[in-house]
Order: sequence, then C-alpha cells, then structure tokens
Amino acid sequence: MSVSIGTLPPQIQQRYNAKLLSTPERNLVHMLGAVPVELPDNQGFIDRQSRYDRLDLFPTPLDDSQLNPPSQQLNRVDVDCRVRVYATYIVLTRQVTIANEDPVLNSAAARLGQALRETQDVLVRDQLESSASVVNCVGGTNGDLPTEMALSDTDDVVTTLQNNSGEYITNMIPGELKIGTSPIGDAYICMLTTRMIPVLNNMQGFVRKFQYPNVSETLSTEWGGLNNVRFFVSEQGSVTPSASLLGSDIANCFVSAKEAYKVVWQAGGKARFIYMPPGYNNDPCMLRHTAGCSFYQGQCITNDLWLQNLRSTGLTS
Amino acid sequence: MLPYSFIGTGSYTNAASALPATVALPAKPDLFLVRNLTGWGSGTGGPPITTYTAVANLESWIFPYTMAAGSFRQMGQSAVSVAAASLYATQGTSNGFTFIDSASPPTFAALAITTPFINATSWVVSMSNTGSIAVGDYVRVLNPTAMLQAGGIVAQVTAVSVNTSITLGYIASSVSAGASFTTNSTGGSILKFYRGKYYPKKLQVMHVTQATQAVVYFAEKNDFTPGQMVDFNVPTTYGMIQLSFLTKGNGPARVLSVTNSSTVSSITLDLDTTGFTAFAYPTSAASVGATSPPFCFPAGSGIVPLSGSATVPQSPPGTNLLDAFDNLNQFYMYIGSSVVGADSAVMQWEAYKADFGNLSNA
Repeated sequence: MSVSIGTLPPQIQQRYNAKLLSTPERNLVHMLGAVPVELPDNQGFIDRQSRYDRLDLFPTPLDDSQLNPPSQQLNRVDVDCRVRVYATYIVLTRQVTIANEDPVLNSAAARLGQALRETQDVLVRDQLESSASVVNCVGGTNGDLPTEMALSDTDDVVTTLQNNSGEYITNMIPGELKIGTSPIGDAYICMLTTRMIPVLNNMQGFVRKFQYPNVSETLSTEWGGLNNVRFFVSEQGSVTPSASLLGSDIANCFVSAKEAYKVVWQAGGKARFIYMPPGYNNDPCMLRHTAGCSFYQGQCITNDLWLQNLRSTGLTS
Repeated sequence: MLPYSFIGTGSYTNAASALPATVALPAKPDLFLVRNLTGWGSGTGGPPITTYTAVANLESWIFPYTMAAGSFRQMGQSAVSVAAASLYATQGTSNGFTFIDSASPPTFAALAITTPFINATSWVVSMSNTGSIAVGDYVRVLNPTAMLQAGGIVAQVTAVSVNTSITLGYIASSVSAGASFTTNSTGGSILKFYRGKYYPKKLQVMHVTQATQAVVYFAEKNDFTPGQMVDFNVPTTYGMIQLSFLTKGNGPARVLSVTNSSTVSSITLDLDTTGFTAFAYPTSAASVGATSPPFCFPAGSGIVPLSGSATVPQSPPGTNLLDAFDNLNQFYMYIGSSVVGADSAVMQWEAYKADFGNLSNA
C-alpha cells in the first residue's frame, strides 16, 4: 500500500485540541440598577418592604388665635415580593466521563453556571416588562407607533423621572481636554436589547462609550450615553414581537432611577452547584452522574415612579 | 431502563360542541394521555385502545425532542381503523397536543381583519380566517385603519365564530361604560400570542368613569385584588391626566373591588374622579405618532377593604398577600380540537415524566 496523506488513519490525521472553544455568553444587564435584598431563612417566602407616602406641604401660617391646624394622615404602602425556586440539571453517563479525555463535568459546571446567571437576569427582565409603566417613543420618523427612539424621547423619559423625583444612578463624567470626547451628565440607566444598537448610534447627540472623557468607571456592556441616560445592551434584552401599530417588534428599554426595583435572594437558597456521583437517583448500577444548579429568587418594582419602559421600534432583525 | 414517573392528572368536561382545552402541568411531561371517561369501555365513539378512529377514547403524546409543536399521537399508533401502523409524522400536525412553557411560548402569525372589520360598539372583529384563536386567548390589534387609537391594544377573546369573527367583549363592555370608540375600522390584523405570567401585570386602560369611586375598565381579565394599590400613566391625549403617577402625591389608589366576568373586567377604586378631566381615547387621526397608551400598573399592597367599602377595612385588618410580585409561569398542555375528546364527554388527562429522558451525549 502506498503511503500518502489520504491513506493515513484518522487518528493520525487528527489531533484533539484540549483548549475548548468559547461558548457565547450573554450580557447580564437587567440587575444593574436593582437593589439586592436578602430574605433570611425561616422568615417566610414573601419579602415585604414599606414606604410612607409624602405629607402635604403646610405653607399657610397659623393666625394669631394660635389654633392647632388640621392633622394629616400618614399613609404607608407595602410592596411584597415572592421568592420562587429555580433549578435544572444534566445527566451524564459514567461511560462518558471515564471514556472521554475531556473533563466533561467541568464544562457542565461552567455551562450550568452560565445558564443560572442568564436565567436570573431574564427573570428580572420579564418582571420589569410585565409591570413597568410604559412610554412610547414618538420622536422618530419611521411612521410606526412607537417610532424608533430619538433624542426627544430620551428627554421625555428623563423629564418624567425628574418630575417623579427619581435620583440618578451614575455620576457625571466631566469633560477633559481630550480630542473627540464629550462629557456625560448624571445619568439614569437604560437596559435594552443589542438589536437597538443602530438606533442608538443614529440618535442625535449620542455619545459612544469610547468618546467618554474617562472610561475607568464603565462596564463592558455599556454602549454609550445621551444627555442624562446611559445605555447598557444585552443579547437577551426585552423584545415584544410584532407588537407595534404596524406589526413590528418593539424593544422594551427599561430606564431606571435609583431604588426603582429590587432582587430578593433567600439566604439559604443562593446560587449553588449540586453534583451527585453515580449511585444516586434510582441508579443502582452506578451508571449516571448528575450535575445541577438551583437558586431562590424574587424580583419586583419597588417604586413605579422610578422605572419607565421606553418602547421603541427600529430594531434590526 | 427509562422509568416513567406519574406527575399529575386532572379532568375536564367538554362543552356540547367540544372546544380545545388547556391544562396546567407541574413539569414538562414526556408522556401525556387523554382518556374519554364517558366513552371508556363502551366502544362509543370507537373501540378503546386497540384501534383509533377519528374520535378516539384514548389519545396520547410522547415527547421526542425532534417532534414538531402541535404534533400528536404516539409513534407507531394508527390514526384510522386500519391494520397497518403508521408513524406520528403521518398523523397530522395540527389541532393535536402542543406543549407550552409560558415563559417561552410559541408565537403565531398575524391574521387579517376582513370586511366589515372591527365594529366600534360590539367589538366583533370580522376574520375570514380565525386560525387557532379560541375563547380566552390573548390577541393584539394591529394597524386598525380608521381606528388607529386601538392599535396595539391587547384584548382577550370572549367569543369565536370559526372563520367568521371573534369578539373582544371586554372592550365592548368598556364602550358600554363610556369608552369613546365611535368609528369602525377599515382594515388591520389580529395577532394571537401567549401572555407572560409575571404578576402583577400592567394593563392598558380602556375607560375610567368620573365618580366618587372611579371604575377602571380593561380589555382583558385583570388580576388585581382588593386592597392592592395601583397607579396610572395617562398621557394628555387621553384626558384624565390627574390619574398619572399618584404615588408622587398622596399615594396610589386602593382597589376596593374587582370584577372579572365573562365580558367585564374592571376595578373600583377608592378615588374620587368627579373633578377630573373626562377620560377619552383620541380620534384615529389624533393618535398617529403622538401618543403613548394609558396604563394601570401595580404600586403596592394595602389593607383589604371589607366588601369593597372605601372606609371599612376587614376586621382584623386583612393583609393582602395575593398581590405580591411573583413569577406565575407554568407548563401547560394545549389539547387541540382533534384530541380534546367527544362533545360533552368527561375527559381525564394524565402526565408522566421519564426519570432520565435526556441523557447528554457530550
């Protein structure tokens, strides 16, 4: 038999490279503005926090008769948040783990961890989408309702949050003597889908992150800023399919002020990795491993004034 | 060995003209059965188990991972009264079992609204193709020409005349209460979708009365509860702007009572709106490019009122835990018209899960 490349056995032709390829991991942006709360064990599964409503101002002076003014009523509003349990697992046969040169269980742990964190993020996203107040973008020109986001829309939502006494989350990035940079004001944060990137880039006055005077206090998920809003993008940002007037997809862009929403974790139920070696789970012949993960989480809007869903079309497909 | 674990059962009774049913499940099943208890063992509607006719007494569904949504019947099972078995792929892929994870539901294509389009009073929506829309389904109204103020409204279906029309009765009730829709649409489309199950959810407001205890109407069943606090965002184009963002004033409004009938969805508030600007939807022309929809959204939990009283709380004061923010997503099985069972029959469903049905092949 003549020897050529074509006659080499497969195991000679091929090398197994032990360095794994990267797995796509999504940006986790939806908890950026959340207040973390720990629910102690053995104290139920609903976390209640309360807020006392404002009292009326009293600018009228007492007259000389010095009669007591009418009293005011102090009202309290409670906000309840229920914690739920989330879990998943995979099953690997022992045949796989003892035959495979690759440490499969290690990869399983990594992928479970990724799925867990992305699930936590999606839970917050969907709760915000379900409950938050809505503002349609109307400043764009695409003829739909909502339109694509424009400068006037971000100004509107900033005005709404300011009117509602919402506090900024990030501090101003002042101007510096650097060519091509632009200062960024105190800002609310906006969490949105990466499908909105072209819309962001086209907005009048939009400042990309690389144009910030100082990028030392930015995140990799940040795309840029416009006046008093800084934008954080994620592949799993909220999109409502076919929901605009003309049937286009709508991006739900959550613009949040400080302390607008929270995430509750049960103290004894924080994220954990659970490995069961062969022999457990109805496995008398010790044939299967299981690797799982679980967490206990609740999420809710704590002040409806301070979180607005700015809805926009113009998404890339 | 892949043993099946029993994970749940239940029953439902079909109407005189059987309609598709949806049942909640505790987990994603690998085997699902529907059994006609009324006809079981009698041979009525076709002999049980051994052969299957168009009206079978037992329908089953096994979940292979490549199975198309809406597929039904077990592999190797015959669909008609013939001796030769056939594969599930030949058994039809519509109107069968469809597994639904409400956190990641299937999507549908929009269906055209056809002449005479949307009636602004009765909210009968003419559709020559109603697709799989059933009573209780959520639909979105898209681009209703000449009635653009209704664009994007999410409504629940209250009646279906197959391939003729659907009725959005909750909107019709709000019109009866004063909602300002006066002109029929001249086009548009309807998009069916599965609503997310996060609680509580914001709802588009269809109408608000001017009353000492305001009544707020919705286009779908609401899940607010007595004692719950709600707030609003009502843009100026809808009139009653005094409702917007009550939280920043003296606090959100308390829900006194809730109505969720087959055609009316409303809440009554401990809020006097007699001095407020009248609530009204803008005209179609005025709504173009100029408006956000009015929404009611959850704003907290309050003391449960006694029988809807504005002044008398339950004694001892009732703490409302029903309004806690929550994730109520669940698994469901949609039982389509081909497998839902015979008219008027009492049906039993059973769900099973394989212990290790999903070995990873890494």
